[in-house]
Amino acid sequence: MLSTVWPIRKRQRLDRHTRAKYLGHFDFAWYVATNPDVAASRLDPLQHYVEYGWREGRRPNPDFCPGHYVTQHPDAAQAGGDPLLHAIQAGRSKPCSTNSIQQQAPAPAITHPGPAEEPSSCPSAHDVLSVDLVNAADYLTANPDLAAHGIDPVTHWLTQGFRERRSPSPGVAVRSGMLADRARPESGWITMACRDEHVAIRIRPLSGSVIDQIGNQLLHDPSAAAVGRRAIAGLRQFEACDLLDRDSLDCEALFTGITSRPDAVIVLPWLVTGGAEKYAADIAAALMSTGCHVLVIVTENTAAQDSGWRERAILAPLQMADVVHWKTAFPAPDEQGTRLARFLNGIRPRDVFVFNSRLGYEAVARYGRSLSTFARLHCGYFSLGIPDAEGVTYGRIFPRRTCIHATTLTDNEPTRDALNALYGTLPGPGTLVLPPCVRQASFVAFESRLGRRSGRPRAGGKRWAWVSRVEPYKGTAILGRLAALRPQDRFDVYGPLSAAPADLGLAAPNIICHGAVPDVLAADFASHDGFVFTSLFEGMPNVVLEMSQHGLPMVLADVGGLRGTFTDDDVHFVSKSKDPAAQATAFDEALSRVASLPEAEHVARARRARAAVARRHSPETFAVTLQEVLA
Amino acid sequence: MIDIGLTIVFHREGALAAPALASMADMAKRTAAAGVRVKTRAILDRPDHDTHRIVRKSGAWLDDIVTVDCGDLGATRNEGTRLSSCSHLAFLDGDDMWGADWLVKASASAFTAGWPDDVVWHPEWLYYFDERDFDVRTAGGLPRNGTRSFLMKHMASDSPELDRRALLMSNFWTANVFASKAIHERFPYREIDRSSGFGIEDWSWNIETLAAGVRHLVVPDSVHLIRVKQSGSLGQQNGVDGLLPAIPDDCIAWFDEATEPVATEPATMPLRRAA
Repeated sequence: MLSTVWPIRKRQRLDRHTRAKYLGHFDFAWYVATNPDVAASRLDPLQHYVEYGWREGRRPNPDFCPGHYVTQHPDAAQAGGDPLLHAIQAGRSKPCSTNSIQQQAPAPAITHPGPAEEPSSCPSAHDVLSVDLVNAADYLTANPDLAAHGIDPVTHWLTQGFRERRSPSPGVAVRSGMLADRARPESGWITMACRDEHVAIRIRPLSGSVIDQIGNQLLHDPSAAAVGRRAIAGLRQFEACDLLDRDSLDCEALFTGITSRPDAVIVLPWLVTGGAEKYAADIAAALMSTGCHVLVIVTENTAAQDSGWRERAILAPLQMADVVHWKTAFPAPDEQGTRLARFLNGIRPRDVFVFNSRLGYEAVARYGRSLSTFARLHCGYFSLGIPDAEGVTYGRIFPRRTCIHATTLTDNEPTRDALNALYGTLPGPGTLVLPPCVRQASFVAFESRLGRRSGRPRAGGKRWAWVSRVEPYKGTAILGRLAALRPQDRFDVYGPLSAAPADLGLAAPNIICHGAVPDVLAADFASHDGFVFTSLFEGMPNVVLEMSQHGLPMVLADVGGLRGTFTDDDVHFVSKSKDPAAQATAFDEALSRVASLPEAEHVARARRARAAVARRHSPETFAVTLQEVLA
Repeated sequence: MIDIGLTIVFHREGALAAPALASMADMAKRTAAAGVRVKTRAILDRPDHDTHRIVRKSGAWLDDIVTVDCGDLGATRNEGTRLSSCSHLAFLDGDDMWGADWLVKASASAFTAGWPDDVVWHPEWLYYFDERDFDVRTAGGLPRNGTRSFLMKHMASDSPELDRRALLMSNFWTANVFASKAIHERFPYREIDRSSGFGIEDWSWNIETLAAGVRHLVVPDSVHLIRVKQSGSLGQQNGVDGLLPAIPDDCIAWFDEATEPVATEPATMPLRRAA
């Protein structure tokens, strides 16, 4: 039983402002489906509802009953008018979970030539939008690619334009994605679901008077309307303080991640199992043990990419700190570290540490002058790498720019000496060594491991453990050649693979890759005859310090800061060689020497190695040295 | 009688000074016609020859033209404060334009009953125009993709949508403000200190005044037209120089406090005082 029926095109349509009020709350498709008389009439469903439907008690969507609402809210009855509109204005109406845009918009891709198909059943969304929300002429003028392909502007906006935040008409602003989620109804935004995405629209708040004032100034400088006089009203508009809309700065996400102003900030690229991350976590633990509040800023990975970090044992101290993923809050590029510097300037920590974060190094390099007026800046560099294109580390790039403002912090003496040789004459706080901290096996556990090793059979082929990240710069090619030189021995490789074993030179049948070891200190290496470390360059490798707790003979490439902790009486160093074959031969000879030594010699070396680690790398020593660094 | 010191600051604007002065003249006439006494002044800080010549010629109607040797935007504005004897001051940048009613509306807002004197007034709208948009110009009502010009709306400091901590990340308010001389004397602009890396005088000034409890409010239905420079803008130079805004110690507590409006009074405009 249809109300008075007039063909929609002979009537005055609802104005744009009225339509905007209902968008997201009036379900076009549902209304037509449940009111066949409206469908048959080809009336605009919203216009029908506004003019007749609510008076007749018809529901605008499955969840809203006008009659029930009025009984529950007498003020609505008193006010008169459409109960749904009353509910929307009072914030009592939930946006529809589905709506006509979602259900009825056809979905041709922009690349499809030719006009889009008309929606089959009723003219509602498509027709309504075509006249009121989407200004077809302006839309086609602004997007000439559509006109060239004969694509219907309404269809384009419904399927693609809204995602690109294209305005459908000069008077309507559009938001999508996170911006739509944050759009506030009290600011006039109407949110709706559109093809599985949230979209928010609102009538632009710019008044005609302001446009007139701008227009009057064109007398003095016509270039102010270079964009086109009519287009000024349709320009992107945003609130100056809405940094999310303005600059893609999600300050809300950043600020909610900070429980209170931090005393110290540690800047890291990601929260993975790595030496730099462990080093930073140990610094955080030492600082927090003195009552400092620590904020960790992760600059490369997003929160989603680091989602499993809380399960990583070496990062456990960071669970007591505030952790913010910078890219999650500020996804836009910040190549100069300007935003990070501004943030640090705002929160004013006492100490800032940067490890392996390009963004952090840039911020210190460019803004260190001002940041260092209130914070002690520390930039960590663990190695200068090897001087070929791929082996270049941040240690070769940034210290020259950061050392003027920041303490150059490293975990080993060779890197300190190399940096001092390069930049020692520049003014600045200088270069300091903070050796890494390592957990140690208890005396009882260590002696038990030694005892188990001593009791094992010594005849036959040997079994060697190789533990590290399995990548070329850890000397996998050397290991491959070494395994070929010692076919009777077995080489057990523990660590995450960066590529297929064959691509890393580990195709020999006596090399067995076991994958990553969750906890090197707790793992059982008692059945091995020794630990082999073939790395090409290092700072101070944690894995060697941890392997010293297993009582194994250690055959180590003479790299990084290992000689700062161990001597030739503790471990078996193998001199570096640029030739992998020569290096493999040197390792082969070292392994043969190790195999020929009496067990008592192994035990004595293992005990000395453990003692050396205890002296230099205990948590207590680390905390004391850190305080000296900060002093 | 209300009197306003209207000061425009020039450096090396060259030909852009002419439309700025013409726009300022419109505004001054409109303001005087509304019964507000306006003292107009141009301050040229180390101007180049063209700018000097253009201001002398196009600004012959000004009450005063002063050349100074500050070499700093903040110091130049401070000089403007010192030179003015008016109770309220408005500063303009020498390459912008302004809605002709800016001062009429700003003074009406400032002198409306209920507002204290320690308020900084900003235009409601900013039209950032970029001449490069000529390349994507349109006769239609919707700008084409790639358009650089935009409109920005100022928000009052006590708006619930404004998180003052975000002011530490980016500046909310432009420098073309209207405020009492007393505020400018209490909070002089900081000069750029390149040795310490602090500067950005207008941003620092906004932070400092807000931290001190000064309210930043907007004048409804007003607009400034701001020219987007292709190069040589102060913002670009600040990045090159590695400058950060100076932040008073009071602001540090912003991160320790819950986000609250700075003031408790409503942000909406009260009724104007009856004539």
